[in-house]
Amino acid sequence: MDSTDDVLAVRRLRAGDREAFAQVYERYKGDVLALVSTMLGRQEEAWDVLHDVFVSLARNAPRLWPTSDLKRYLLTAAANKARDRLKRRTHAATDLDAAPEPPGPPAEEPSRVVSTEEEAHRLRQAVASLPEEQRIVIALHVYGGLSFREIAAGEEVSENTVQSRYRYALEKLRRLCSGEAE
Amino acid sequence: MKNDHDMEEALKRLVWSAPPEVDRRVLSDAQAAFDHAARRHSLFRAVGLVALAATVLAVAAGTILFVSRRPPIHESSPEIVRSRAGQAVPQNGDLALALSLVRLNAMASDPQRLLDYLDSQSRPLRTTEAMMTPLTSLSGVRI
Repeated sequence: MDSTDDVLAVRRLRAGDREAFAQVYERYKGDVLALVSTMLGRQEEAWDVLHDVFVSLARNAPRLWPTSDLKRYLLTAAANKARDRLKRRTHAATDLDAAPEPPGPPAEEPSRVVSTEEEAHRLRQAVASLPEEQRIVIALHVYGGLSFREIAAGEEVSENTVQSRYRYALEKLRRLCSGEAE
Repeated sequence: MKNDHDMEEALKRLVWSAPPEVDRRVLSDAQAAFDHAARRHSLFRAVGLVALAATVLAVAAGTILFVSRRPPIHESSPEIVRSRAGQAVPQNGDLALALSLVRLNAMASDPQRLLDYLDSQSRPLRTTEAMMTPLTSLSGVRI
């Protein structure tokens, strides 16, 4: 979808076109889901954020700026909502004096990848098992399209730290997907 | 996956989807929010239009009130008389005489007031040629 389509979609949304809303949802739900699933590492929470992002879009449709970049708008909203959830998780863990976040689903036993779907499944599990800060960098860079500098500003860490997290994350993913033991 | 680039590509190719019930819930709740927002937006727009109309009316009423309360020309200060008389008052010459004549012109329909006014005036008005003009023709006097 190019920027002209986005502008048209925003115009239709502002005018209260329900069909346009459904089209926008179909077009961008995958991008939003990829971002928040990677950030959160939990599917059910990712679906909740997906719900909140699009309901929020619907609520604010009449006030959308006519030249809004719809994809950027949705991904920014999604990243903010996912961050809020992560913060709440941290607070909840602190309040309960609980152990750190439980590890994500364990990587599957090393086995030969027999199909693309299986490979995709393995990759999703590998992503979910990454530490939170690495997942965030992967999500914002790969799915959010943010530069390392932008991510560093948002996460309040240095650009070098962000690059290191990204490198470690990819390395770990590669290891997990190829079935190497950690 | 041989290198970082391959891994990035694999991540980008990953398809993330939600179950149909999630889609239905999102669309249903979003439609409700959509309708609510549209109604609220219409209400705000209507209130805005009413406020705009009220402002325009208030400005118009103020203007009319201001214009209607402007004092008659013969009760105005010389500066206002001069500005409102426009081309009837010469730019050069005896301004005092011109202003007096404008006042006389305005009072021509009220002889008693005119006489009182003339009585109240001192020289040089009484000695001017204008005083020689019969009262009946004062309304058509030209300078």
